[in-house]
Amino acid sequence: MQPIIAERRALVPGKQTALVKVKDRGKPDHVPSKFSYRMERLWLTRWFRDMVRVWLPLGAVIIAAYAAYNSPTLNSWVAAKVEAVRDVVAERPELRIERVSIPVGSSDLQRQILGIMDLELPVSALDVDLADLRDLVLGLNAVKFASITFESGELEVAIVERVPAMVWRNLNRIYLLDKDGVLVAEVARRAVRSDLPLVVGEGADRAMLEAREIFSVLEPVLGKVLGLVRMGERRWDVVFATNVVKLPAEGGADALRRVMEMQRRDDVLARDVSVIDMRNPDRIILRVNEEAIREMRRVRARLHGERA
Amino acid sequence: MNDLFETQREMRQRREAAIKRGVIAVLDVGSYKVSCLVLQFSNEEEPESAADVTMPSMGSFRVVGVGTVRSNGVKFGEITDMGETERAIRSAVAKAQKMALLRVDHVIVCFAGGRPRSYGLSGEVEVEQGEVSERDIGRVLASCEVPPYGQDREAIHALPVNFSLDHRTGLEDPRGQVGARLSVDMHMLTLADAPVYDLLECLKRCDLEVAGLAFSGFASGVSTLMENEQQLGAAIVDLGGGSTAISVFMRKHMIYGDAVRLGGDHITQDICQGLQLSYTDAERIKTLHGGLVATGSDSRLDIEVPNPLAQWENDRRTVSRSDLIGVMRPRVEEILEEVRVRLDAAGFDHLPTQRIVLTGGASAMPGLEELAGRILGGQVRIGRPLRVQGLPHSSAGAGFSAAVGLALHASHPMDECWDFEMPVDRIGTRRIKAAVRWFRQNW
Repeated sequence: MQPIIAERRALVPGKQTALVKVKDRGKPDHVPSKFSYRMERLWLTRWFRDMVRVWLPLGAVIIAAYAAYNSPTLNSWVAAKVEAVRDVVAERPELRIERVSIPVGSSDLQRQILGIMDLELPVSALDVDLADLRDLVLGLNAVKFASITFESGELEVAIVERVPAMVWRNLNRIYLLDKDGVLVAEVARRAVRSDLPLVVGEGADRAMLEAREIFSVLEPVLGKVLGLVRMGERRWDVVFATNVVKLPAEGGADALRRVMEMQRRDDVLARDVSVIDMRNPDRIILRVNEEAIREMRRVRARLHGERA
Repeated sequence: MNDLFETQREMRQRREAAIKRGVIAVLDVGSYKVSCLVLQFSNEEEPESAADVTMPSMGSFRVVGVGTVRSNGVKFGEITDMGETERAIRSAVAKAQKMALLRVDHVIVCFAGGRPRSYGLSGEVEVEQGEVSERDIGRVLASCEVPPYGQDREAIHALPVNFSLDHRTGLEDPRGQVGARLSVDMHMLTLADAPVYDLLECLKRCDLEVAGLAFSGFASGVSTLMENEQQLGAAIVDLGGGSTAISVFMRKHMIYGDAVRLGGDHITQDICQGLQLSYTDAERIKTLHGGLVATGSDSRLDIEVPNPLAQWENDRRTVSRSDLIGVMRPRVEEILEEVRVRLDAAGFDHLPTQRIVLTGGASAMPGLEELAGRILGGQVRIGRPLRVQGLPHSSAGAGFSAAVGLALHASHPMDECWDFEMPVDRIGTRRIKAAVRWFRQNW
């Protein structure tokens, strides 16, 4: 049953108790203000919207970029920052070069390479330019080929050394040449590499091929050979202890083979012949010593005398 | 009068420019709501639809924005509060623009106020050279005697409805036909100029350029009447909030326009007074529970109404639906009888068909068709506007028939073919000269 007396509540002013909410007709609807209406229309205008959304930001970015590009303080600041970041990276232990290894090469050459690379270990790999280092190492005369790799703290310099093949004396200086005639090193005395054959004279390094062939022909009498002399940058002289073989410019080795044949047959080098001139292949000239000539004449006269 | 022609010529030029640019807005300033549609015209022509489709062409436009707001400053279709109306227009346009993401500069506007008055004009000339030329048509249009419709009125519609050549009548376009005497029947609609200028001023304050002005009865007819109804003759009754616009169409032309200064607002006010309710509550009850034909069950159907005088929370109040109908029906009968009087005065009885189409926001009342059939006679139907591309469903109801009609009118204006040369011999008097220019330039 419904209670007979209902509790009467005081109505809060302004609070609607009706079930259907009553709207106040006097209250105006929400209407955009004239200013916002105009702004909205302006915003809907195509050129304006394009300008605000595209051209103005683009222009601002371009101007800012130009200003930044031209500002010295900003540039130096950026450079410092970049340097700092680079340093942080360079500090990493993974990038630290702790030792340099040169697996092949003579100890002299290794010292030379270490000296020329001039690294104060440990150093970061970012601070060294491997290509530059390689060029430096390649700049050494004794190095034919070099490759530098960096792996786990170790800088490995793989080189192919030039092997000295001859000693070259020229203009009072003594050099070592490899088999291609490339200068390997300079030495103080011939005796340092007395095991290597000696070539002398201007242009000798450029005729290495022929020189090597000549030395191979000279194999049986190598002990008697003092060396080869390049004459007029054109032809070779083979100098023995007591005599000299003059070889032609063309076919020197063949001419020498004839001499060697003569040597094998007649032991010509042991004779009293100062010069064997092979320059003209049709006419071999032997310069015999004066003493020998006299002796020969005497012998001949006696033979003639007996016969006569 | 010259000023009117000047402004109307400017409007026409603006409308053409706006359509060329592709965007135009239509604005229906009513007593109950202000609605704005933004139309976007595509430049390329739409492919012709199949021949068996009898619907009128909807044009190559698309509705891209819709804004509808409550209208506070309009009574009887006329502006009573400029500030409120300006705000309502601004709000509606802003909403539609926001939806369309387009800025609109040109609007075509329609309204139902201003006490429209219809005039039938006729003119007659001798054909100059056997065949009717454009020059002859210009002359016959210029020969129409414009009645003295008063200093404070303005003509907003004027179109040739019918041409007759000798004894042949009903010609759409007599150009090139052979005859001796050419006569024309014209229809002209005038409005009181003060409401028109108020409206134009409001639009100017909203930074909008007016590209056309139409009577909302005409616009509703364009959108609501079927093509055969427009051709054979039909009356359109646009039951709006503050006024009811009437127009009669025949041979695809409006031949009569009028307005009754009664509408849905008056029904609401009756409910306010009869049932002691606030205006908003009355409006709500009208739209939710309203009706015009009571049945036995209606007296048992209690409608709960808010009770502003409630003393405690369960202090409820109900009215029966038959009470509500009893309040609404006399007012609707009054409106319809007034419409009947206007139609009788216009000679609607003599038209070949007696088709009457009811539209407008107030036509949604249940039972209106039955009641209107009883009072207006003839064949009555409730009309909804033609579907147009892009119009949301919520804005496709009968309340939007004037706005949709304006959109259709903007895409297919009927005043284009009347660009006729001004006859030289008529230039003399200023009045006729103005009339000729007006025929050349305007609706």
